[in-house]
Order: sequence, then C-alpha cells, then structure tokens
Amino acid sequence: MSSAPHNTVEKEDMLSYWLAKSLRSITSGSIKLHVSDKPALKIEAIDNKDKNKKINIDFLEPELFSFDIKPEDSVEENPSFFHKLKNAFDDNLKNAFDLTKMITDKDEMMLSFSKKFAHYLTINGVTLSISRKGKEAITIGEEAKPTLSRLLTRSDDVQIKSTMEAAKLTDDVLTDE
Amino acid sequence: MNEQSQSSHWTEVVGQLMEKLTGKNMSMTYEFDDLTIDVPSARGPGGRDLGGVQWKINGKVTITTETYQKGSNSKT
Repeated sequence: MSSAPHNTVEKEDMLSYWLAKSLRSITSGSIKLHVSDKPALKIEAIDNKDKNKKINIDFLEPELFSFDIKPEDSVEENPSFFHKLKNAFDDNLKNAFDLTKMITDKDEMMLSFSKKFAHYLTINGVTLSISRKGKEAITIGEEAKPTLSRLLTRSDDVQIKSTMEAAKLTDDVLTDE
Repeated sequence: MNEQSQSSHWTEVVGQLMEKLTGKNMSMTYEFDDLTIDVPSARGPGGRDLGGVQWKINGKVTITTETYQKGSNSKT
C-alpha cells in the first residue's frame, strides 16, 4: 500500500482501504447533519473499548440523499445494476437465486468497490450499520452474517438485515430520471 | 463496461452525493458531539517517532450556500 496507485483497480483498492482505516480511527461520539434545521443524517460511533468498533449511520431523511440512476440501454431488456438491486429489494429477495443468474461481469465490477470496502472493514474489526429512520437495514463488515444476501452481494461481509427497510432505502435514495 | 466508464459512473454518483452534502440554496449544519478520533502514530524526519494523538471535536458548523447565474447579479 506504499506506492502510488496506477490504475482504477488499484485506486479503488487504496480508497476502500483508507476509508475503512479512517473509520477505524473514530473511537466514539456522533455527528448529526441538519438540512435547513431538519435532522437528516446521524452518524454514531459506539465505544466498545477493546472490542470491535461499531458505527451506525441513520438516514433520518433519506429522500434528501437521492440520486438519479440512468438505465444503460432499455430498462426492461438490460437493467442497470442499481435497477436490479432495487427490483431485488422490492421483491423481498424472494427470487434471490434467480437474480444471481442476472448478475453480469459489469455488475461484478460495480460491486467490487463495496466488496473491497466491506472486506477491509472486517479486517480492521469495524462494523458499519446503515439504518433508515431508526430501523436497521444493512450491516457491513465485522458483524455481518449474510445468508440470502450473499447471493446478491457476493460478499461475506455485507448482510441485509431487513429487506423491507433496504427496499425503502433504495427507493428513497435511487430515483429514476 | 470498461474501467473508464465504470470510474465515471462512480464519479457521477459521488458527485451527486457531494452536492447533497454541501447543499445548494440551503443551510447545512454539522453538529459534532464528543467525536473522538485516534490519530495513529507517525514517523517524522529521520524516522523519529512522533507518537499518536487523540482529537475530540465538539460544536456546530453551518454552511449556507446560494447559487447565482454566471455573469449576472440576479440569483437563480
């Protein structure tokens, strides 16, 4: 990790490594984000002394963090990775096994950053918990124990705790143009 | 999807997120409550051990932004 990264894969690896390492250095406390005086996001670090670290990120107003997803070609014929993710959650992961057949090499590339980041969190003993309006949706890192969600994320370090909350969160955050 | 298009897609996503976090025509308040950060030890000149340090952050930072039309005094 000492020499400068040369290509996208190395840069992605470096970024995910330092991001996980930076989160490791947060010991305790919280950051609250208010948008126009309205609570929008809360980040809280749980001090477990010598145990693993847990950082909770709660999207109190998830709609404020929405971004557009662009279909690459036709949504019906060739849905983008974000569309597949959204559909899988909307479907409550009932067809998760069928979904694995739809994961393409392109999707794998899209997933690679989050997989690396989640892996580095585990190595650093950090758990990241993502919630929507106080309800836990996704756990990433050390304490993640994926079952069905492994089919979707192809990672042992990402667990979808609640498909309903994850579906709501993706609906709030990912919007069609 | 080649490396460049994958990279630009993520750049777009991160760009949109940053836009949300820095705000446009709105006020954003970051409230730090006893945020403790352990800065690991570093090596100084001659390999001297500079030791680690602990930061504690408390307080509020408010960012208010307004957008203006380029070349005009009127706000958008």
